[in-house]
Amino acid sequence: MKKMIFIVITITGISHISLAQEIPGKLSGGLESNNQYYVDDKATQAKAPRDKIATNSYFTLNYTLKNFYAGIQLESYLSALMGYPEGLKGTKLTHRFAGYRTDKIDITAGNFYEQYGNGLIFRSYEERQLGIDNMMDGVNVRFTPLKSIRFKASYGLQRVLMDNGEGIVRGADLELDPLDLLKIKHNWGLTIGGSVVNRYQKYTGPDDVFPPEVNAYSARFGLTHAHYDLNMEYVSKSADPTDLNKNIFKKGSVLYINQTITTNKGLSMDIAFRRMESMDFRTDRTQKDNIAVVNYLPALTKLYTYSLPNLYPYAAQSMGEIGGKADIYYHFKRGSTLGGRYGTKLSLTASLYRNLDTVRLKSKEGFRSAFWRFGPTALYNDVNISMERRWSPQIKTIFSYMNLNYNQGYIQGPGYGMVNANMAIADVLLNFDRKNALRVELQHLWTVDDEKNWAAALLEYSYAPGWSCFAGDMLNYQSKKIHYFSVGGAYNYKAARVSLSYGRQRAGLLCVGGICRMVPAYSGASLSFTYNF
Amino acid sequence: MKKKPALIYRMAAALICFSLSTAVAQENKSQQKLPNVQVKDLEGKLVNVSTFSNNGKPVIISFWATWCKPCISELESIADDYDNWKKTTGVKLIAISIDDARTSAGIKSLVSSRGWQYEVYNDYNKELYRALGIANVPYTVILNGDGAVVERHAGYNPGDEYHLLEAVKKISGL
Repeated sequence: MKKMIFIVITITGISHISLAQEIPGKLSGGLESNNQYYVDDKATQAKAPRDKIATNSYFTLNYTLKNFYAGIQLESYLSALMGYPEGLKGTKLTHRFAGYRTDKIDITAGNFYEQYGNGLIFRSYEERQLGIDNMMDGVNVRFTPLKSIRFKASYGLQRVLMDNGEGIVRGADLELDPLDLLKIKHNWGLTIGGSVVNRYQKYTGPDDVFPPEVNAYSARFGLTHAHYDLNMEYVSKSADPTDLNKNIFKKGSVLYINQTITTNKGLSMDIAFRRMESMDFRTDRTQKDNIAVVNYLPALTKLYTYSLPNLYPYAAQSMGEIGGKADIYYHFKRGSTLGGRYGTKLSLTASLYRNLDTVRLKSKEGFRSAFWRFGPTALYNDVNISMERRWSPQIKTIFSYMNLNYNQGYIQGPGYGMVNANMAIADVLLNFDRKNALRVELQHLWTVDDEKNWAAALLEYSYAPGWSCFAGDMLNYQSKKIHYFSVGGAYNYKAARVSLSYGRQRAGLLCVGGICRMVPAYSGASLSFTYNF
Repeated sequence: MKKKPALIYRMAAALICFSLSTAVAQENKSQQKLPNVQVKDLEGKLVNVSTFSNNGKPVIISFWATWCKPCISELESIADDYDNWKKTTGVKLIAISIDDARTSAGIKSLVSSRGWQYEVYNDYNKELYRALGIANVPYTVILNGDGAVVERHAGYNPGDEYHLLEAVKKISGL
């Protein structure tokens, strides 16, 4: 704590002086602090940890001077919020980097984030809410000799919790726009690309043929047109025995195909297919959960923002999964019969995932699977219809209905079964005047499985600019009859935001952007502060 | 041992004073421009955000995501009146989505079906978002005619759009 404060004071002091003396260059950055006070709760059996106060804080500072840039990030977990990986603890200057950037070249030394293609082969990124930061520590180069030739090369160690891990990652990526390159006139945009990623981790065990290195290759193809887009990528990975896959020597692959179709008539859609097997790719073969992951394999399903659909969130199965998703949007124009005076927006989403059709093998390979065949076990499927309509300057509504089938046993672990649920949601926004607004959410979930029916309600009142408060409750009224209530408020002023809330959190999967972590049940007060400059 | 907490509090107080004075100094100067970072347009081409301009007129930059409901509410409520905003102030709105590979495929279809007239980009691995130190979406920045950041606003409450318009009018000297 003392060390952290010293560092922060030094940094802010320097920034202060530099501004006062008008040293050239620009500073930007931000502070995020999330604090929690835990209490024991008999109803949910949530127990407060020994240290009842937990704080996760992040302070970033970036400096740029013409083509030069540099930055740092300080993180402190004193103590870490409940549910974060155990290894996140203490205070440390986790990021430090410097670089040089022009239109043609960008070189970063130190910590960097990078993504090749769709991230299926390599993506380093930060997701604070999930405790994910798989940033690299090494050298990254992006070279763009011509606009239509883009080359990236990266190497380094990966951050694992508070330190660098032992696995070494090297990679390169090339992307070309061949039609531009050959100066062929065209209405279509065409992009081809490919990547190679190698990871090495020392092996000291007894197996003579055990591979200390894993190689992955990817090829991708993109077409763009005013009304049509195609994005395809295929990744292949060499045998990668890990603790998680019980040390089988199975090669991995992912095939991803996405198409987007848009029209001038208010209809547009977006259809994705993905099949993957044995694609868990880490710098450390002994790790699990979201730690030391090299690539990005999110669940390709609709991201729900309401609380009840999020009781059963799908999590991508990197060992084996086949399926897809379709999103269709339609806009009834203003003034049409169904559009009304302000227009009506309809959306329809459906997704379906199954496991692979596999045969167990006695050899080291572990299993074999048919490429194009859907497996016998349903993992997840959902259908969602939603209608958004403004009725008058004062009233706007969103009505949604959905049905989902969730293989809870497969996704969350043994002891659970299949959940089939229906949900209806009404979301009403009342704009009383230019400052005062009230949003009301009513949700109901019907199921005979798991914790049976649920009901939820939320009221959110806002006074622009700046003030808002909310009160909500969620109740499994046919089973445990626990009220998962929460109340709170927030204040925004320019770049600053403070929020305070009190309530109960249910144990379960917390998902952000399709990546999930398990969170324990807890009760208590939470205070957050964010500011940037 | 007893003295330590007091020292820490004093240092923390000093820290707060320092950061506040830094913040004030920054706000007075208000000459920060967008960093030299690239984002993707809807055709997948890379565009350097430091080249964003609007012929000497102000620019609103709205950070959003396809899964962020308040973001969509904000962009929808501005869309209803956008022609009027453009006519009276000459402002341009640039919507930068922070959707990653999971949801970025849906940006084009969502924008197209809603008929938004904004310039839309994808900050696909949050490079710009991180360079600006932003913690959450929605987040709005206003650039003046010279491309300098003059206003920042975290979050969205219904009605914030009127304040945004007022701020833009003030910048254009209306």
